Amino acid sequence: MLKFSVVISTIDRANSLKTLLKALEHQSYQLFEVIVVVGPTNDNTLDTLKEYEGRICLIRCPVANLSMSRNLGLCAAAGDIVAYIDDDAIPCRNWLMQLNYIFTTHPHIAATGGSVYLIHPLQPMVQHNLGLFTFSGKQYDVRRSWLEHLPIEGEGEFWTMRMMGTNMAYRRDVLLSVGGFDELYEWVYDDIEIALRLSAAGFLVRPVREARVYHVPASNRNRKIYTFIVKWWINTKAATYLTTVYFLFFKSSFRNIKKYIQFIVGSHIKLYINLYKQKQISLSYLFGSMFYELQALTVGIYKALQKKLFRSIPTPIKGETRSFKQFMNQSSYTQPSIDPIKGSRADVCLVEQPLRIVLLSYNYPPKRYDGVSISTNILAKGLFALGHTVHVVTHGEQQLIQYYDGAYVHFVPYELKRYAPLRHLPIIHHRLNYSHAVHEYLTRLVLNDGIQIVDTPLWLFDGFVTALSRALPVVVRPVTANKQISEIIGDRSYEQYLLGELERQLLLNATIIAANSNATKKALYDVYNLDKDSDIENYYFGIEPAAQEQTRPFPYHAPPETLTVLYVGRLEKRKGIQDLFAAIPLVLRQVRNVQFVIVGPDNSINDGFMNQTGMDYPTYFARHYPECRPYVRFLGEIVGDKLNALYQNCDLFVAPSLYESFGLIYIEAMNFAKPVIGCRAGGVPEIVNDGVTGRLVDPNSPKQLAEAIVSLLRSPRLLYEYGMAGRQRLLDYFTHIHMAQGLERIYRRVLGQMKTN
Amino acid sequence: MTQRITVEDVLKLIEFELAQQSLSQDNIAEAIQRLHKFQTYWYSEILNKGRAPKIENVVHALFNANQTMLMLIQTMNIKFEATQLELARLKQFIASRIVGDQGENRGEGNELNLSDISYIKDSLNSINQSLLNVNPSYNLDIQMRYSSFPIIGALLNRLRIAFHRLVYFYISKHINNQNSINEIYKRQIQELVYLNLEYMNRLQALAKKVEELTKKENK
Repeated sequence: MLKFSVVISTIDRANSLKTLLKALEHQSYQLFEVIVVVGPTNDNTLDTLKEYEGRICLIRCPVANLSMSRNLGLCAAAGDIVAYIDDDAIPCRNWLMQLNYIFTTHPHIAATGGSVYLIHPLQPMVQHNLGLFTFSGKQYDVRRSWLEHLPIEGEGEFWTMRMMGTNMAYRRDVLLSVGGFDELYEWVYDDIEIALRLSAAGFLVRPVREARVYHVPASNRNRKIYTFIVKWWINTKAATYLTTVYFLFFKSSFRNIKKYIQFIVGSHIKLYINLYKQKQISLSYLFGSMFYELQALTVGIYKALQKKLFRSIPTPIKGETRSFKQFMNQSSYTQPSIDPIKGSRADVCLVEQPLRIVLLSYNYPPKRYDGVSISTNILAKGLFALGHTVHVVTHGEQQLIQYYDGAYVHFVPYELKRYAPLRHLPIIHHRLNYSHAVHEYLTRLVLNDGIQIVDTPLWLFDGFVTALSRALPVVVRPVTANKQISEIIGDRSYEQYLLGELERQLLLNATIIAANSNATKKALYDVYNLDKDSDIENYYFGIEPAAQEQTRPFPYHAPPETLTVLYVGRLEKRKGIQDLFAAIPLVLRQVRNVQFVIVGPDNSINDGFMNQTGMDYPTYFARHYPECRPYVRFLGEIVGDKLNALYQNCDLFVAPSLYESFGLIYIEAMNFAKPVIGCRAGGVPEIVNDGVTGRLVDPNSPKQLAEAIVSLLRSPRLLYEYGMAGRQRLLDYFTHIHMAQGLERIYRRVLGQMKTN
Repeated sequence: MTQRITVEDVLKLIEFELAQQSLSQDNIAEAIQRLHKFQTYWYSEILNKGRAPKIENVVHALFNANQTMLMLIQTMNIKFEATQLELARLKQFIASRIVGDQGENRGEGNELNLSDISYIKDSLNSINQSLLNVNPSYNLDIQMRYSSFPIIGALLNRLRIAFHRLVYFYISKHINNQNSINEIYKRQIQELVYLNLEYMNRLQALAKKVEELTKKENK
């Protein structure tokens, strides 16, 4: 096994460095040491490192020069491989494992490095993926693989593959033999130049896709992050020097080099002028920058000529002899997962190793909301709070990774390039193609992040292909599924039937089924004809409790003049919207100071209502109950804080669903201390305690519904008491932590069983 | 009458797609395809009637194609070596399992020679040598203007044609040289692809054997 020396160069980024060191404790490959090279720092970096005394090798670099810092790390390295990572990056769990695999199985490779993903929610992108560069300074878009834009164009030149400085590894002896990094490159181009030099010296430089690093760029002395305010002249000096040196030594085309330098300087000057026009920089800064640009250009060319004149070809450097100091210790294995952006982690003391879980959800907040995506988002937060590493795989237009709400969110695009025989069944065709794309992506996540278990909702069956492949244990979380919905809305199409059957197959191929209520468990037996001995475990959904001051119990001492009844859910038959419509006039006959607020998208097309009546739900209501219209407001789809405000400001929550596997909406209302009314159907009775936290009525019974609404609206005391009892019930049983604990138990059981087998 | 697709059909399709996926895990095949298109494009550019491309552009295109092929060969070679190692590892594993099994079906006689890949390296070296011998700095304009000057014009034209023929002679030599390099590249890529496939098949067979042995052991 190869020994690794991880070298981190840092200046004034104590927080980022701390996050990186915490993240390194999660590496699956243990045979590595950490060398931190600290430049002339002004912040508390050195204090931060005291915590790691005895575990890391600390070196001071007298000047702010990245190449010099890298060389100091190289000389001090006691490992066979020197791996460089930026202080504002986080490696994937198998980073060193993958690098070790590459160096072990490919003895000719002298240098390698994996992809780099920018994961900040403000600017997610693939930052580097198999880069390609030439010594005349030309490069293809390093965010795409070089294999994607072959054959290379332009004037036949010496193209070479390159890594990004954030994520690169070298055989130590090779790097020493070529003289390490050229210290004229103070900040940029060091990674490019070394790749060119190694290739020119006959070594194999081969970046790879795996061994990912997640980058969260922070500001430094040379750049203000997420702006264009950067000391571009450092770039100019490096680019000029690089291209001139290689022109002089390798006799590349002078015209190309001139073109490239003109482009670099020209674009920098344009940028400064634009920044000045936008009032981001002052006039003196503008002139100063231009002066520095010209100075950098001159210095770059001068240094290159000097190099040629004195034939100062890099000579081998000698490394120090130091003993290898392993970074990992006993406590490393039970460290909770870390948020790479905030640097925070769960305040828990773990006994067992944290899990690495993938949650699948085709839709995911904040871009797309639905019941499944919201519950997945809440679960991710809960699992992170318990110390686990969570990855969410969702659909996106392009492949990106972001980190928020305690999870790495991977956006996976898909094309309709598979399952051609199913084209005439468009829903199935799309879903299977997406499921296959997810499966391919999961195989990459196994390689990089060592994921252990996949959790998929039954809805849209994202994890179908993975479950069938048996590549990973798959936990299926059934919610109200297609088969139930098609029965409720009476859709007898063949595609709906087939969807139901495929759902059944997913359940049969699941490693375990995690049902969110007893009702779901029962429905699984009834609807999908599962065997009684099928492995189904129970857990309860939960939500993040609102702060106490955000709750709005009913002010029974001073009731409002107009009472508000809130409905949240899609406008469709299954959600009981027609029953609510029928109940509204009955309520208004007895209580006049009431308004109904109906929130949710109209689903009349999909549930067949439009076909039957030729109208959508709001139009239907307006036509059939014109006298009630002034009392009812249809707000359409509302999510996030606006929805929370509606929950806060209502006095009673009503959702007469004909079936809910669980009913997240009820606990959302209970969160703000609101009484609720639901039906005795599905999992609702497990949430709503009839006569304690609200009322339950029979499904398809508008009369009962109206009576329950009237009885509560007429009793301010009950509105208050039911609301408060609901809030307490939520805190006792239905928080995101309860939900995560329930599923953690299931995941651990599955993994334990696999280990035993 | 068309037959309805059943659940079993869908499951079979998924199984098929999963099997396909194991064969095309990267886009090297696609890159080769793109290279092929590129070559065809330049071929037609050179031979088409109308304004011919500049000789400089042709040389650049040839070099880029060579560079691309070199990188593809390198990539394939790396994959090939990894497959070899995996094969050797599996072979060792199986050998250790069947030592007590009267050594049946070891199939050593028809194995490919794993250690001898020197010919690929030799070929790569010869390509590098050939590349070094080609001077990329041609800067020749092959377009010719005919002189209509009385008496001397005809002589001038003759001289010009002679000179151009001379240039063409070297160009065609150069192109021939490039073509031979391309041929070697192509052969090597094909060879590597073939060997990789062959090894993949053998790996699958060995993996199957391991599975059988494990089952046997469990019994």
